[in-house]
Amino acid sequence: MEYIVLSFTQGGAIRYQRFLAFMGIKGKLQPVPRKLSSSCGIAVRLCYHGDLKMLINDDVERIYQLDENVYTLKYQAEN
Amino acid sequence: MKESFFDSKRGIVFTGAVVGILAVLLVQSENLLNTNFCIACFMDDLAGTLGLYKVTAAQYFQLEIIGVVFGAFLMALYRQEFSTQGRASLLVCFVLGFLVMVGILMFLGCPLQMILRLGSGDLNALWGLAGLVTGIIIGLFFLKKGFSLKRNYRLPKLKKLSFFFVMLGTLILLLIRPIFIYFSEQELDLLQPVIWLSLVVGIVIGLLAQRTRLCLVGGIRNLFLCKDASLFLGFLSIFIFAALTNLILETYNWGFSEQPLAHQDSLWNFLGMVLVGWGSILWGGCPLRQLVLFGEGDIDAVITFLGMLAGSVVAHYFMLASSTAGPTFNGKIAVIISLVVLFFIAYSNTEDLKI
Repeated sequence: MEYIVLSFTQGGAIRYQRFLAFMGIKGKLQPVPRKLSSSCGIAVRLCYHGDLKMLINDDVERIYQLDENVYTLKYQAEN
Repeated sequence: MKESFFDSKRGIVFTGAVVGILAVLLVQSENLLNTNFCIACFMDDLAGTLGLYKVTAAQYFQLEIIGVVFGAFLMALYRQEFSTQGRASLLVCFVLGFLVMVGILMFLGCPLQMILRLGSGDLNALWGLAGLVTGIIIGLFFLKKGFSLKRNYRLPKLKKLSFFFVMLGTLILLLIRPIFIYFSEQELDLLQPVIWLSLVVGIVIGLLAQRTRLCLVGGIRNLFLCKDASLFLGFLSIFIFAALTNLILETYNWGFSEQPLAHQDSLWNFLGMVLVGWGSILWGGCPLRQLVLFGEGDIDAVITFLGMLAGSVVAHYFMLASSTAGPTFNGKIAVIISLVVLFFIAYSNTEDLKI
């Protein structure tokens, strides 16, 4: 399954990409899709089939599942 | 699901075209204080209007700033994207705003003004562009090493109407012109249509910039970081359409000399914009983007705005700002000190570089 992960900061997105690499998951940096946020920051796109909880850390603001150009919110950090 | 126009590359190109054309037309129609369309310079004039320094030629309440913030606010409200949020490192945001202003006043223009100068044929701005890109690359080095200003938190919601009334109140102050609002001694009739045209242009730019996330620094960042050119297209579009408008109006002046509000000292044009690019990439956007974020309720952007105001005040009192004759000695020292301070800010907030 494809996911788009939005971070709180652009630095957080870069850090998150390294976190994924540490877990053996390839994450690709891309601009945050406009329909998801007004932020001009960076998001991470990845392909993953395991437990979503393994993708969550302090840098994650939101996780969307991407399916044929449709985004479904799967996780949102509190506050 | 089909992508909407403003979510697409066509939307950002359209926005860039509108900004480029309107900015040139506004400057040509205003011809008031020999000003250019520069967000940071507008802030500089605002500081003068508030009496924070006394340089009578630079006391003019730029309605463009109010317009951009208001336009961004309206679009954010409409799209339900208005949200008050802020980070834990507000002091750093303030200092970054201050340092970026020092760089802007060395070059005599923010990144938007730099593109507009390029679009008018001012080749001195090429040094600025080189500096901006260099500064962004330096900032990206720190980002890749783990630089972060910490995450943002949603704050108790400001009543949205109160935000609207603050801006409306600011406009009313302009009309009433109380004793604590200073204006230049040049005759400025506030009922002139061109004055209100600047407000309308600001609103249009704010609406579009919020809708498309136009960000000049972000565009260059994405080119290097994500190999994505979509945001950069806005940057390019502003340049192309500003150039075309200048050519049609016969205001295109190709060369280094006799450029309005510019100096020819290439080294300091370069270094000034290194400071701007580096600082802007660390705080996450150019001055125009900060105004838009201000309109969206981002408290960091408000603090950054205040930092830029403070920077302009200090720059005037200590003669840091350049002129068409070139940079001042104090300005050169300030840029060097600012680069050192910026290095320490970047270093101390970068995980992988901490001992």
